[in-house]
Amino acid sequence: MNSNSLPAPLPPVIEETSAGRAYKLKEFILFLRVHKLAAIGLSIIVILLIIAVIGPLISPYPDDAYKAVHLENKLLPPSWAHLFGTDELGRDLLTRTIYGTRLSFQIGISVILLSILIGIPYGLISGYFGGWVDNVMMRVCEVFLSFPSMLLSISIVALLGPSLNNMMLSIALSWWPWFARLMRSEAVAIKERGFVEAAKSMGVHPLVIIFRHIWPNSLSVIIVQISMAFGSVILTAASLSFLGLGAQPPTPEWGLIISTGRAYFLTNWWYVTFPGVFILLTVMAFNFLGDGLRDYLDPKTRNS
Amino acid sequence: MTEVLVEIDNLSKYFTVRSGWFGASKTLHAVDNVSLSLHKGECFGLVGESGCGKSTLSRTLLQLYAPTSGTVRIAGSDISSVTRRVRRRNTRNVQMVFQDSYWSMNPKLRVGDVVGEPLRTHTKLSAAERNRKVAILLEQVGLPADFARRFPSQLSGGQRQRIGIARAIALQPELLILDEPTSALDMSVQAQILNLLKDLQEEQQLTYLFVSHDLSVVRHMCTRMAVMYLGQIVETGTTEQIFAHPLHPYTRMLMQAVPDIEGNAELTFYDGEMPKAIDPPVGCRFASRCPHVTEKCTQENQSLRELDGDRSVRCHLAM
Repeated sequence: MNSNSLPAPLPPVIEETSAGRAYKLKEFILFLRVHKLAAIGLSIIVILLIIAVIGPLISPYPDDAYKAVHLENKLLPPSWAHLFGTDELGRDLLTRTIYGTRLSFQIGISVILLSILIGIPYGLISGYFGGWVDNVMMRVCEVFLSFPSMLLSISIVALLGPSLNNMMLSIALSWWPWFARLMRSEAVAIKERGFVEAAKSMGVHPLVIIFRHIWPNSLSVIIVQISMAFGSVILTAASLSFLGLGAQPPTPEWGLIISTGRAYFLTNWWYVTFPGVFILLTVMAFNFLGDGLRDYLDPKTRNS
Repeated sequence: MTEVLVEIDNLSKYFTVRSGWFGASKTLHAVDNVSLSLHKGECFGLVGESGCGKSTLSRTLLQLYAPTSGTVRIAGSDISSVTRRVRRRNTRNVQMVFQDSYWSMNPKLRVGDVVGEPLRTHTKLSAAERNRKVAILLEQVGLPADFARRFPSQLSGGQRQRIGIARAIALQPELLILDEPTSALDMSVQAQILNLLKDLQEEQQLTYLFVSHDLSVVRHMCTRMAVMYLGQIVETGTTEQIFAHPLHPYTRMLMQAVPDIEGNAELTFYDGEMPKAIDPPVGCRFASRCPHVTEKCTQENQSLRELDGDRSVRCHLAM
């Protein structure tokens, strides 16, 4: 290297990307205007997220979230004092639903994070190296995929004992193969591209190729999958809690609230309805957003 | 002057092709017994139509493919050497400028990182030193230093190809493989890039392997050349000799296909199907398209005959 002839350091260059970012934001807003469903999904998610974050501040009866008992108020229908009514122990259902939102987002984020942490490196390695490594790794993946994911989660929880943490672990274990497979197919496609070949020919280390060249170019696909998966994970968590395999009383988990409320369904409609509506809204919103993002990020389907 | 830098000796690269899961596996002779030697500081042209094995040959030199047989020596050391250190040094010594500059650059990286990548991989320069080196490289290929902050997609085709060249010369390699570096560019930009390459060669004593199907570009750039057909070298010699007096029928066919500005070229159309590189025919591989085909052509394998004045040709009819 003729490093002795290096000139003085360059003056900092004014970032031209602030304008670029503004343009991208504008483009996204325009997209949302056309894609009404994606806009609706995104709005619902933002509202739910705000509810989840500031939950304790806006709950009318924060004590009711867990252990409080007010038998004098039990099973009151919706009123101004209790917008969503109360349950059989007299706890405010609005408060419990709000805390449930918080919990559901926590579950969603943890499970997705865990699945990604396992699935993404797994898929990247499998797809990039190919050959027998790929074969072995994908067969392992298929063992997980060959069970219905609900059944797999139930078996794992049954093995580990029902609790919130075990439930999250079990959902993550049934979800990571989906990320692994998606990541693998992306890696297989991207590694054929010229810049990977160029990097290889320069002798760049495989791990550097994987994380510097392949991973950033597959981000958009992963983001879509995350959005789609988020709704399903929340739904699965509610289902498992409904079956008594996840959150345990008195945790304010949507599925668990519905499970308890089942007994009062015929006489006290509000008990199961409001948590149910929240589950529905959340899952729907994530699917809408996921669909929209797929159209937005995939240039092939993006022509509107 | 005629110090040999690259010595390709009986190099072959076969691929096994399987049709379906249980289909019989066949052998694709992508590169078949190629021997070439490149002199230090020269520009060597490699010409042939698509699918003739030019790319496979250059990718073998880059160690992207392991040769099936034969050896490649660069500055005396075997590129498929077992020791990692030697292999790594050889990677440094051979760099490539790719045909499609857009395809060959990571769209998520800034130009500075694209050009800096070989430095990151092979030197221990700090980030600041690397940035300065990138600035020098950009200047060498005629671009302002602040291009380092841009993304490849923000540049024109010619500018991007300059980036590709900057990246390839970053490590001051011995051999630069130019894989149709100008075929994706329009005429005026082509000339600029070719002149840049010529200047760089003079300044840095680079050796070029210029892979192309564009004969006029090869004539302009190269001192010696080889013509490849279906994995084999059919003719080698100096560019001057070959253009003045092409010996192999295939070379003549290529020459006639070059459009002439006066428009008085008589176009001869050569009929016949190009044989597949899978299970190539016995005898001369060009026989199915050759206008001068004789019985001997289809029965005997043709070998590369050395002629006077550093020429060789794979045709028993050529004198």
